Amino acid sequence: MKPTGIYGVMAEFNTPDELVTAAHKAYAEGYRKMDAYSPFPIEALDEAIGIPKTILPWLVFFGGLFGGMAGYGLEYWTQVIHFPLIIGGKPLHSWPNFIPVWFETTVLGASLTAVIGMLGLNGLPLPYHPVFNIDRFLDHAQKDKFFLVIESKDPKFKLDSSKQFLSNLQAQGVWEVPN
Amino acid sequence: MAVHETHAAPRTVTPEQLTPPWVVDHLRKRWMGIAGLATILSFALYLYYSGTFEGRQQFFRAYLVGYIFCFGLMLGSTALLMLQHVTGGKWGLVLRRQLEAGTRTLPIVVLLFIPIIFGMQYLYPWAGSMPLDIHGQHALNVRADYLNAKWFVGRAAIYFVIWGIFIYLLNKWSLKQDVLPESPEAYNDLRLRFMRLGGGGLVVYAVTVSLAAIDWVMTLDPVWYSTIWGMLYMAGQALSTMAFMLVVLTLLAKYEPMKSLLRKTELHDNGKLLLAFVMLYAYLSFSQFIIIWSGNLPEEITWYLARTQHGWKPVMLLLVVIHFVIPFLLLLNRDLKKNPTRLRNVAILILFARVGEIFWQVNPNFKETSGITGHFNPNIMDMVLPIALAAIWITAFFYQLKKRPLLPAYHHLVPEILEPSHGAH
Repeated sequence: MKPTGIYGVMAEFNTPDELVTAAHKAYAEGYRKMDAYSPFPIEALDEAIGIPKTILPWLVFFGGLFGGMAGYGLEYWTQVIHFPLIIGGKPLHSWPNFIPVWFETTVLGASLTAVIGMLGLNGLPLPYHPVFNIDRFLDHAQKDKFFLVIESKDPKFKLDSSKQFLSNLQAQGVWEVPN
Repeated sequence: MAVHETHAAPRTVTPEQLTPPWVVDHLRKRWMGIAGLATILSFALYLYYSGTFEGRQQFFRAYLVGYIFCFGLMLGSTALLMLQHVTGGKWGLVLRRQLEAGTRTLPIVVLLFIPIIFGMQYLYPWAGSMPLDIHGQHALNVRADYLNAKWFVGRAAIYFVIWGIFIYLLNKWSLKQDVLPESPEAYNDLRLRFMRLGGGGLVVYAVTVSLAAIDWVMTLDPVWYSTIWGMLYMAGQALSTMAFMLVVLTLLAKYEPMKSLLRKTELHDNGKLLLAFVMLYAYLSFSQFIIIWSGNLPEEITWYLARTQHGWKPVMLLLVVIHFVIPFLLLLNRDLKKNPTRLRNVAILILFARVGEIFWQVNPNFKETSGITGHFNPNIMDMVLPIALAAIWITAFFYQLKKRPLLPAYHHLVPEILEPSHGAH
């Protein structure tokens, strides 16, 4: 049984390189449920903490596909079935004329899916997060320090050994993060 | 672990470490061989076909297709080079010396223009003795002050001089970034000068490339005109150039020094730009089509009729697929844009599609003697001449690429390029 009331353990690092190295080691040690915090994006981190690739691109693809089909369907239904009207001597189903609207509704479907899907997948807006309980984190996470948190959800998580593991990574400090 | 120290110390590199690899010279020699063979074959074909007016016309049609492609690579390099001076960014820095090598092929592009002067009468209705209908004759009478042989050559000379001035300055100033700047102020001054030259140059480019594209391709049809034509050429040249430069960049990345300099980030960025140009070209091309198609006016729509009938429809559909659909769908994929080999394959496909697109723009203009629009009947020259011209251009490109270090060593963004991904050890 995991200790209750503990979100995880947090370690502080001075440089992005140390954070990435620590994340690599934690991953090699078998930890999977962890997260890293940095004042700026560090590309190598995604891979280091082993977060799975996001499915957002596929959602956006299908959102765009849906938007496009809906737009084209609307045009086809209004122009050909519901209210057939000859414009400029063209056939009723004048697909070149349909393309601008089809394009716009594709973009609309894709971009709405991107925004809503992004919020849905990353859980924002998030008014409370356990890491805010650590004062060092509040003061430095957006400025000059780099943090790694191993969460208690991780099957390998054991309060003492995990704390010890992070201390051994030359962390500047290690804290228990209460829930 | 020495991570700490190396992260703090600024990383530098000397021009000597940036010498182009042996493969550049190897490729120059190989392309020179192709150019030699294809040129000899072109001469032989000219001799074989030059007996008739149609034969000579066929030769110059094929020549023009190859020429417009090479010219696009040269001028597209100039435009992208100026663009990266205006916007800055590491994507442009890794391409910088390649683009400069592309611009320095201007003398070859000027030389290759000379046959067009001699072949003018076979290509352009305003210069030749092609049979014209009453509308064509009327249009050419009205435009005779602008569209005549002397002024056509004069305008070409003016374009080449204007481009030459920009190309000369861009290349001359660039050498100053191969030596340690005297002071930060002097460096910033140079950067600003580059930015102003690029900004002004892009405006001049937009005007001159539009006029040149109208002169050299649009006036193949005596009546037809399109106001988006210049923009189509800008987008097309940017697309050809980006595709070509990515092919070369991914080849160079197999060898030092580019092997350790080219990071996934910059490759990815340039792949994104390639996708953007694919979309831009398709967008402009479709804009032209839908306006003309909707208007359905006799003096405009004939251009598309000639290009969708008499066997040209499959060509057009094939172009839609290889110029837009396939590159677009493939380049959407993020992993593909970070994979040098796969990105190169897409870029090569785009280069073939570009030649095909120019072929499709140029050739249906030529009427058969009976007066109907040109049928799709490709000739062996339609393949040999573009290969010959492209090979000559590529030879000149590699010759120029070898002359300078692959990066301006003292550019302010070089330390960032040298910084490996964090924790990559």
